[in-house]
Amino acid sequence: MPEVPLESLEELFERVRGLPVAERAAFVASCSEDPGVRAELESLLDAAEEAPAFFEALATSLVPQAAHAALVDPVGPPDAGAGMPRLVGHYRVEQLLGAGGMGIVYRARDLRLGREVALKFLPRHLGRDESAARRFMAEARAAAALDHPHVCALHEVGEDRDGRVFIAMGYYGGETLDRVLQRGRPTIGQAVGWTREIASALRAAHARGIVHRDIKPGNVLITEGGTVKLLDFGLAKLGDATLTEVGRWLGTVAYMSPEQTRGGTVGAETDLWSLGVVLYEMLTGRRPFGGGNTAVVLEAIRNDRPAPPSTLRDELPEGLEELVLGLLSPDPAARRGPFRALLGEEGRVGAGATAGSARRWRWAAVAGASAAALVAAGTLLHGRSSGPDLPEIRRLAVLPLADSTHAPEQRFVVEGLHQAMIEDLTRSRALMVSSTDAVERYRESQRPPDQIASELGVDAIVQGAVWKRGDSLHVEVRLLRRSSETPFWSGRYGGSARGEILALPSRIAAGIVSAAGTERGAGPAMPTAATTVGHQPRAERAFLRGMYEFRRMKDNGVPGEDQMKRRLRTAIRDFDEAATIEPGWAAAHAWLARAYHWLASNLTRADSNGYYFERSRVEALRAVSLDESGAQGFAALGFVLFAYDHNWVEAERAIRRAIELEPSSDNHWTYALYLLAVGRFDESIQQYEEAGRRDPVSRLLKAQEAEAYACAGRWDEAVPRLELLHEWTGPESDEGRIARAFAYSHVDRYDEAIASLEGAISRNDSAARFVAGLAYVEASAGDTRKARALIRWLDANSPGWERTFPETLAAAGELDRAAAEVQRGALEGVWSQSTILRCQGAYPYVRDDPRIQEIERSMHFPN
Amino acid sequence: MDDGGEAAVGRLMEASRSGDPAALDRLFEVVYGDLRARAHAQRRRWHGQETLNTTALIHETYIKLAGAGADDWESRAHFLAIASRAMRQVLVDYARRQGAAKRGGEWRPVSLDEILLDPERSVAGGRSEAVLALEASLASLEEANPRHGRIVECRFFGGMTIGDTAEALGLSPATVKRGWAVAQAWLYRDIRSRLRNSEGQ
Repeated sequence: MPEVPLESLEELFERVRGLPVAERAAFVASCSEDPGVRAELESLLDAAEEAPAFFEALATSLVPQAAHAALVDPVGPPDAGAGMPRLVGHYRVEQLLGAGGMGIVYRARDLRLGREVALKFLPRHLGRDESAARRFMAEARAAAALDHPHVCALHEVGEDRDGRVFIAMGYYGGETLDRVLQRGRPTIGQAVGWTREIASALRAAHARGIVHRDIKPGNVLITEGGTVKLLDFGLAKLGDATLTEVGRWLGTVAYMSPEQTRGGTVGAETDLWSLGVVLYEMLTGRRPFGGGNTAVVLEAIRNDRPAPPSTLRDELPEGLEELVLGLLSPDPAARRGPFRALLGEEGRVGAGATAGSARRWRWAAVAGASAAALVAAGTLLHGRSSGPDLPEIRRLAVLPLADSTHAPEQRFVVEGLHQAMIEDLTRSRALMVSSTDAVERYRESQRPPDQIASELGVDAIVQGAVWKRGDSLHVEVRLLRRSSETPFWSGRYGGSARGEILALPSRIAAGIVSAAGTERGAGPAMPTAATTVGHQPRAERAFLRGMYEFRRMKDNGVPGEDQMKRRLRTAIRDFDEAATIEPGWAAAHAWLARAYHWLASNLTRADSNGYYFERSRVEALRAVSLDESGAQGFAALGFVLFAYDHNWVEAERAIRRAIELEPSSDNHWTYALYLLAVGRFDESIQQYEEAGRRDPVSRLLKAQEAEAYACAGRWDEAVPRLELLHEWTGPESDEGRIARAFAYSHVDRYDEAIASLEGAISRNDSAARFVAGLAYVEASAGDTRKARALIRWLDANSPGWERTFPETLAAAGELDRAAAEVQRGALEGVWSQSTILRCQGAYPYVRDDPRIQEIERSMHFPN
Repeated sequence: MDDGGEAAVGRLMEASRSGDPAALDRLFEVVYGDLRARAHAQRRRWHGQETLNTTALIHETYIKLAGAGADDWESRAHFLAIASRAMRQVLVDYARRQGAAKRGGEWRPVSLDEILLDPERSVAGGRSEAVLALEASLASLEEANPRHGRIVECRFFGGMTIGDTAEALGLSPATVKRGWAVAQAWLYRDIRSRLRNSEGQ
């Protein structure tokens, strides 16, 4: 069969790709007389499903690989034949440290960096299972990104010449806890101190969704300096695949949680149980669930309660026994209270525990600890937070925190804390929380709290202050009801200002949610944000600076383009720095994605739009792959998918997922934009209302909501909204002036529209946008001659003006140019112009233009 | 490239065409930033290697470019299209060397990201094989459909936008979009069958 040239196929191909899957076969069957064409089309259609993913995947690894090869001289193969490899890449192997089910470990020297490392070779069968290896890499990588003082550092994963995967890790000397225990029980102080160190490592890991799954003394290294390094994150998951077939783990069943022994999926609580077993063993010298063989141990784990430790060691401090037994609760949820107590950070103890036991736990934890602790306590000042006589707290505003750090140049730290608190509260879904923008105007406000609460439409407000003491940062927050002058709850939280700043907000948020008493039935009260763990200080500061810049962008209501670009570029640089230092930090990638798509969709010079959208996509995908529960990543991805890819179905899915995870003003707003673009105007208006409930004072939001009414053709409803906006900004403000003038012209109030714009033109030195607006109004009013004169002036004095105002061209009858602009906007993903395809604006004038019809077809708008 | 860049490129192209030998270098400097951003974008998808490597790639590209002669450049987009072709050559060369090295039993470090972001297993291991298969497929695509070959070069190897590609090739953006979609499907089908055949041997 002669080959069918692609040119003759591509139009059919595009048309069939635009059809719903169910209709494609029928189309192919009837599209051509030529059976060769039909067969070719069918075959290409089949390939088209996987092709883009293939090219994307190839591109992601291709370029850097080539560049890498250009630079790095190949290292010769390690000495073959000997039992122990002598040279593996740039590592010289020096000593065998141990061997076991999970591989062989050597001490080695990194010849490039001159440091000692531990090299672990995975057993061959594990390395071969590629899906398992990938899962392991993902997890090990995430764990490595924790960079936690009590997690073993992971330097590199490599492959030797035989394809065996090895891991280069930090080498710390010392010995594993199982060897320590062979020599006898540690002191109670040591036992509790080590347990707390493991707990802090676990907290950091869990906050990122990483579960260790194999906490046991053999995975706890006690360094020569006497501190803990937790080993082998990710290996347990790798082991899952082989657990049943090989049964290698029989030796360590003793530390498994009941749910783990049943072989189902396990959550973070499984680590808490195992930690309880380790603590029990350290305190008593015995395992809580012993027995002669595996079957007996499993049976005991599932059904027995361990003997109280006090029967085995008599000098235990009060409360410690309760804490150990609490960690060993058969109910996974019941382990969280004691775990928090162990970390010294419970505000209120979880279900089933009494206030008395909470005090004892805390006391035990503090008594046993020698390490510097993050001390936090929430205090209920009025005895109770809710009751039949008090209305439930459903809406909450967190006012800007008072900055008592005496470091004005580091204002971004305090603001970043504030923003992260709001995000974490929003994520908890327990409360509707006013957005950061909404509360900004109350910075240092003297207005009484009840007035602020009423303006924001909330039931309660949070006030707070931040101060520094030495190297640590402290936050005090107070919760006030709308009806009361005095706070009914306050909490104090503190942490290191180097790398732990972003761990504070989630703890504060948890305290607030708990104190507000709204956690009933609201799902997990503890937010599991990606921003809740320790970070590298430099990365954390860069991240906080980025958030600060990003927010400042919107400082003056509707931002000017130059200001916006400058702020965004700075924010991008900062987020990029954070993500470069800490590549596994999902939130840094997510914010980077967000900043990029803001830049892409707000540039009037559209040259680089595609580039910024691509960057945004890459960062968003990265964020989502690192943290599936990160709303920001999904929101950014959704934005790129609709604004640039016009992949409407997937975009909607991503955005809805973001809202599900974090029903924030921003996410509802993004959805509103999407709905606007696809022409679902009434739903869009609903989403704007949702966003507005969380952000009742945002002018930008209100302006865009008015635009949605305009797009829907509901001009008589758009006008009062635009007028309200005008009242807010004051009569001299030009914000929203053009939109208002357009709206006036649609309700036949031409004189007001013209007067408003002419005033602005004379005040603003003939700014092009007002001239373009005036031209539109004149054309709509029927004065085409005047409109065209203004257009000629614009062409001469402000080339490129039509990118923002294609509707002016359309209204003045210059349909050809208008259509070209709409086409360009649609192709380059300037959302305001792709939106035009479904809105009023230029579209009604140019909808019959073949270019527009082609674009509209190619956009495959959902019906 | 910032707004002023385009005019500078135009002037430098003019100079380069009129035989100013230094113009090529300066032209490259101007476009460098743009190109570098593209390579950086590719790198950022992948993370892991130092920035240095992006630079190395650009330098390699430049060497190829300098050999290509400046006469053909009509615009910034056109220049990028030429850079894309150079990028293709650089990558294919590396893949060939890589393939040869692999057969020779060379060791090389594998970064975490590289493993994580490995192309789907349909490629059945080894990017260099995939690149060489792509090159072979692309060559046969070009025989009958040169326009599609150019589109692939710009979009895939050069990471160019639809708008830039359209400008460089003198096509409408819609044509580029359409051509790119169909060419991807065609190439993927062809590559898949090549890789499957080589697996079977």
